[in-house]
Amino acid sequence: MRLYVVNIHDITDDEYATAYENADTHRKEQVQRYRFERDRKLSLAADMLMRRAAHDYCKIATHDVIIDRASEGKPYIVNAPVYVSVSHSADYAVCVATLSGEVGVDIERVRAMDSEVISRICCISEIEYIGTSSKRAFEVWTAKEAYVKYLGTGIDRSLCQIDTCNHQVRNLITSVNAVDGYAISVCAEKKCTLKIIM
Amino acid sequence: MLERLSKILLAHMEHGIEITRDSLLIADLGLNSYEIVALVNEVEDEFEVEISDRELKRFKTVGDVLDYIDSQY
Repeated sequence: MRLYVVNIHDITDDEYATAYENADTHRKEQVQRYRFERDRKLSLAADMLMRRAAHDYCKIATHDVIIDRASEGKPYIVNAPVYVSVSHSADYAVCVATLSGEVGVDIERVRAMDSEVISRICCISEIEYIGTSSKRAFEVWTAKEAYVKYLGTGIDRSLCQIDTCNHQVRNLITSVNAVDGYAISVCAEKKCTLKIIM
Repeated sequence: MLERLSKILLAHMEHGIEITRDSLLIADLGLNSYEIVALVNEVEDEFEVEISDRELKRFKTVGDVLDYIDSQY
């Protein structure tokens, strides 16, 4: 399994231009709708990473990769047997890719999380695990988001009902320390070696 | 009601911009899924309503939030 990580400031204008050309109509419309440049870059960076993953696993030219979205918005590669999931936050976009089955990924910049927000989204065991650690709070948040993306169902229950400390969920989640100041979680059917590609 | 909601939204945004009913929470206001969850407690307190996580995920525009609040009175 591979985790692609990119800082949007490390991508050149020419690369963004190529990414826009390669993007499908849905992505182009999404990019055009974004008001802020950062959001446009994050969206294109996520698209680039999915294409790169399909290329790396299946040797398809990045401009030939066809990406579609399932009903809950989860992207999938139409013309290659690669499972992907993408996420972005602040300056980083990530894409997890594997040939082995459904995956989910989430990244979020770590900052202070209000105790009321923690109470809203976490169950008792998660609140105990978090204590006063912002990093752990975002570990839990990204684990929940990655789990929901892995399932592909969208939020169909209260977030605090997803207990990421429960071993059945915990066994699916890998917390990744790839970028300082960010929490990243990957959720997959089988935990396997994760190759991080920056 | 829009003014009260805008005040909460602006506190969670990096840039001050004009907020209208049609403003998209993600595309126009630059919020992500965590930031939307993070601000909902304040919306609940301000308007004395309860918003479930499931409902929250359905909100696309500022108008969607206002309509939901309105429906709870």
